Amino acid sequence: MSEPSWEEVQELFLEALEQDPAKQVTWVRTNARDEALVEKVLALLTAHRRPGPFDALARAQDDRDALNSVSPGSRFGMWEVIGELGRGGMGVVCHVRRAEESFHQDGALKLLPVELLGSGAEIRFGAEREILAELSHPNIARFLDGGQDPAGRPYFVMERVEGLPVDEHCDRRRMDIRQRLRLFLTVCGAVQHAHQSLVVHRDLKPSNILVSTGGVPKLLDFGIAKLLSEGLDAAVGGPTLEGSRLFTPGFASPEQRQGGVVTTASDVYQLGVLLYLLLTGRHPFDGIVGPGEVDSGPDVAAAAQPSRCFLAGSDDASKRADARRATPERLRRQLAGDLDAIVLKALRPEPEHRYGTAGELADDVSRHLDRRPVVARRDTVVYRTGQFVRRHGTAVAGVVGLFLSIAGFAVGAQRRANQTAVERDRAQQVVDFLVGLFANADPYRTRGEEITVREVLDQGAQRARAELAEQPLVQATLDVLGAPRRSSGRSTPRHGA
Amino acid sequence: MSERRDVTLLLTALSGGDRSVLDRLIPAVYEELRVLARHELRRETAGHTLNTTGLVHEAYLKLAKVERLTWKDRAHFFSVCAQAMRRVLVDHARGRARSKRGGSALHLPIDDVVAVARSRPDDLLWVDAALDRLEALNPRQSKVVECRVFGGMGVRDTATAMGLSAATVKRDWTVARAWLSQQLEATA
Repeated sequence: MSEPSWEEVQELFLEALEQDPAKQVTWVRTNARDEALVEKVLALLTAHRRPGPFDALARAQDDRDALNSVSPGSRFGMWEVIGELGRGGMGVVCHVRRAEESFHQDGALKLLPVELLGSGAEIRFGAEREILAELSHPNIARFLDGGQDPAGRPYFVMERVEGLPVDEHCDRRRMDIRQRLRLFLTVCGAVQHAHQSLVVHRDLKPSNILVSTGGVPKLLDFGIAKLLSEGLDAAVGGPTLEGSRLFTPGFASPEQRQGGVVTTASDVYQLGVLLYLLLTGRHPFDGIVGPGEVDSGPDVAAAAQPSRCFLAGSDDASKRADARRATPERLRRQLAGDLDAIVLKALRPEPEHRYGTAGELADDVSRHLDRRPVVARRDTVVYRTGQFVRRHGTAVAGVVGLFLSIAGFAVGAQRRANQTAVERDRAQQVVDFLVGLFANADPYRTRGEEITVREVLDQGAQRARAELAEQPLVQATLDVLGAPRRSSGRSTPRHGA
Repeated sequence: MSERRDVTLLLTALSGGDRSVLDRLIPAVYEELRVLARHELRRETAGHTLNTTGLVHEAYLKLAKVERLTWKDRAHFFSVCAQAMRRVLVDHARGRARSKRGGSALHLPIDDVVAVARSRPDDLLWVDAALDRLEALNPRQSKVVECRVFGGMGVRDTATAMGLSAATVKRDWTVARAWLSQQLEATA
């Protein structure tokens, strides 16, 4: 009599379970080849009838499974499920139809995973739902309905849109930079329209922007994130973790990740991420921040300039360039300057330093397309000067002090040498010049260049040559500008290196 | 390359059938789950039942680029999580057993009828050892239990991740459950 194998035992056990419960023991005795096998199978059957470990856990999972599946014919309010359109990491999307006597209406129903809800509390969608239903724009998928089914699952029905995610669409058609920018402008137009109706998207990303075969982009899920998070918050009488988690990591703005106030500026940020992706084929923070930093902590990491994504040796640069009908070198030149500045302005960590609205962002992109000066470049200078002075306050103050003593010396020397009115004027010119120079270094007054210590000196020397060209004596005095320049150039930390 | 992108790429490779990426995927997931579990421990009081499902979902949202993944990638992620979660919890229970400190206990939601008879930190070590023994009998059944208990996965997710039919997963679960129950009786 050989020891029965595990395979034998479990096969017989499973077969026994298919028999009438009252006859299982007899069945095993008749069908097992020997007594050892009978004993093992019966022991397993006994254990099977007792409460086992993890029963509650398994029951909960089975319930959840049942809830996350949708079969054709099931109903959500007045909508009937026709079939499943797709499953993503965040839920199921179904093709649904509303059948009334006189008309049919098709829609896409998005069913959120039950685990998102957790509590099973009732969600109340307030006035927000009415606002969404009113939102009407050719590039925005219409919100048709929303609610919670008897099992507690939140669902939304939107106009059914067929198309490719915007980044895929652009790559498949090998759209060049200008074509991509024009498509992006259409997207901005839709976002701006919603903003004017006081609706913020909160979750702009390629999979929510589908482009039809005719090339028309449509934005999906407008306002859903807010509707849902407020619904969840209201359901439990306070802000929920689930509510605050309703954003897409990698696309969420710093204030969203940190649970701050979400405004239209958050959409501007997400449009910035989108523009970055469309222009470069890369995500702005690839290779810069780790997963921990993306979701929490101070958001100080700055995105690399889009043009840098096409540096030689950059990951698959030629492939990404080819999808834009250009070489990496050409793209680098095309993106450097205006487009770098526009994208980075949209991506600033501080909402108040971004474009105020999607419309302003679009205006700047249009200016670039029309080859007019863009706001972002002027703005970059102010922004970075402010950051520079904050970081290098002492160094800046030191250099200002140095200049003032040079000025004092120049004025004194002039006065001692000559007391004539003409020469007092010259001295005054030097003072005015130097004061003017440092007034420019003041970030709250200047709209000038990004100020490094070296640049202040460079500018000074240049302007001295130009503005004081007719004053050889003053020029000679100002030649001292050359002396501190060399020493401070080495000892002062440079910004942006 | 950021870890998030890394995890997403590794998951796509795993769904495509490349098992060799597991060696890189598991440490990344292990680290994330360890941090999340520690956080949960600090927050919760003694006797709290650890919500493995919640932790796994949190890790998923943190590590993966959800919008780039398919349902299959998602299932694979959870199965990797299950394996990593088992290690995190076992390491934690061993640490507690060594230090013999009081405080919050980390234990699995084993039914009350079972948990009453056993001191809680040991639950985990017992389950871990039992799964090792089951693995020697039938690796697939052991993996099914791991997915469901440590990864918070339902039958369908488990089937997707393991490339099995839902019926097979159900049968494996039935057998494994009876076997575990029997083992528990023998050691109680």
